[in-house]
Amino acid sequence: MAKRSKKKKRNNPAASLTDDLIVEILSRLPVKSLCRFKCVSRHWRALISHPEHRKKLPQTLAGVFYRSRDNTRFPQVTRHFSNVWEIGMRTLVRPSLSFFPRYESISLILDSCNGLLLCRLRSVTEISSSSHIASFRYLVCNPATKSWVVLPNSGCGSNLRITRLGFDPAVSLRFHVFEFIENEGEDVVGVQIYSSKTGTWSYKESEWDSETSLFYDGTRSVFLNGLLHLVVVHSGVVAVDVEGKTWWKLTVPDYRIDGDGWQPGFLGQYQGQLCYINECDYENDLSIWVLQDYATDDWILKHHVSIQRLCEKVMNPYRSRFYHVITVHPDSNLILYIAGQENTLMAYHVGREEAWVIKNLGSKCQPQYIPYTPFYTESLTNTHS
Amino acid sequence: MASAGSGDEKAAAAAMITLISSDNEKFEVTEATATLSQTIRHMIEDGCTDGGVPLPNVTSKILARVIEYCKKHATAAAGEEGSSSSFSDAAFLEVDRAFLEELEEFDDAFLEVDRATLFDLILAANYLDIKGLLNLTCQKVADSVKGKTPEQIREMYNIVNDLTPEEEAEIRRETQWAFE
Repeated sequence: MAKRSKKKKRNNPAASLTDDLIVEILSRLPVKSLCRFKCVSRHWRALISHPEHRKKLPQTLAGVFYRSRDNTRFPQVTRHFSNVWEIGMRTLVRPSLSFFPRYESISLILDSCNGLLLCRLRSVTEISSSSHIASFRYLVCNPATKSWVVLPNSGCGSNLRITRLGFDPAVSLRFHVFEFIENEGEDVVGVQIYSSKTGTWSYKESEWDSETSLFYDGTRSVFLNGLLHLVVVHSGVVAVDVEGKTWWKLTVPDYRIDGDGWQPGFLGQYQGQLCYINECDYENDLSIWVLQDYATDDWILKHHVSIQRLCEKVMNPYRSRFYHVITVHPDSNLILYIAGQENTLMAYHVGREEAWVIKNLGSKCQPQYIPYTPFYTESLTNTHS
Repeated sequence: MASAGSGDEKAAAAAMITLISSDNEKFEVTEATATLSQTIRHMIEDGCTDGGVPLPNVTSKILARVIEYCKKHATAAAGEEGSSSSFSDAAFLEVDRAFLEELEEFDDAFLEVDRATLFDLILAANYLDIKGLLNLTCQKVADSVKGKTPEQIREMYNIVNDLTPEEEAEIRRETQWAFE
């Protein structure tokens, strides 16, 4: 009898489900459960990792684009993509972005936002009525769906302007590109905003104070609540909306000046709120601040961790005590950062106060890391304006 | 078993379709009910439903449940169409809301079945191509496994863990953030 009931229990109703139906069920799970269930069996791991199934399943931070420079090879500067989790597995993304027919003309990935990338294309000479003008163009592309759009000429000519992307599929499949115009003193005087709805650029004069200048390289912007947020040189955070109507300016928390003046921190999202993480090359600890209220500059300190904890697992930790935050994981309490001379990609878990090594990216890396989360819904049409 | 359409006098005037389960039981339903299934809709369009529609993949027990679902949801669809012209917007919204609530209650009660039946319903919804039912049943399973550990999933579904300890440790390391 006991034997019989055991046999009955062994009868597994789920075994009758086809792979497609299991994927149908898995597609309704939060991404956290999904990642956990890779441990169920080989079959489940294969189902969840399969490139075709990924298109239906929720996605999370997949990896990081970065560049390396090595004068002893050709080309000297190369673009890379590293998985952040499935280190042993083939990457889903080709860093060359070769789905774009003129991929060789992509000079730099400027920004990523919820699955879309903003790239600068090499300057081309355009023949207008009477003159020849060299001009950069921008490309917005989605590596997951291999779709892209080349934006119309912004009029930037051969000026390297600070340009960022705003895309929030939870609100709209439309995207916006912000190109900041500076005067000779490198203060922002206005912004050109491209809307994928109208397909045109429109100029708005800046309403930030006249001494607002942006960091050219390395700092990330955040698109949140319909506003693009950036760190500015004079210890503040600024924000502008997609219409160019709202212009905020906030002070950053924990303003400290060290040897070389003020170092910008990392601006990102932490559990759905705007966060500022101070970071530094000069042996500073890491603090996570979250903005409670735009109106009052009310930043709340969420967490503090010593630089020693962040760097202790890096090779030669005492010779290379610095770190650079790449991103906050969108679905968990993890901060991803680069530490040490070998540019070690690391993760720090805020709840467990634990840091671990993901991978050494190598000493030749350039300090610009673009985090990437795939987005499989089609939103771009392959067009060249 | 009584045919599913027998109590519905008004519907008797409408075109009726006979569905035949794998164990050869016949169910008579209205076309409106039957066409919630895309599979049957295509068969009707192709004119091959005379003499009944054999459904060799669906038992009478499951088919009866599927028909119960389709009848309720077909009435819902018909109710929406019929009421839109005869009520003011506010009244229509009120009726609409009450109806949706009722439908939700029906769905909740409908899903109170054992796991084997739930999986049989998924298979039937998939075979008959009934989007609403597939969505409902798959969501029910997803909700029931959402917070579970891999061990609990294996236990629930009698899945043998064929990953080597090294492979499992590797996955756990890579998805460490998901285990908390």
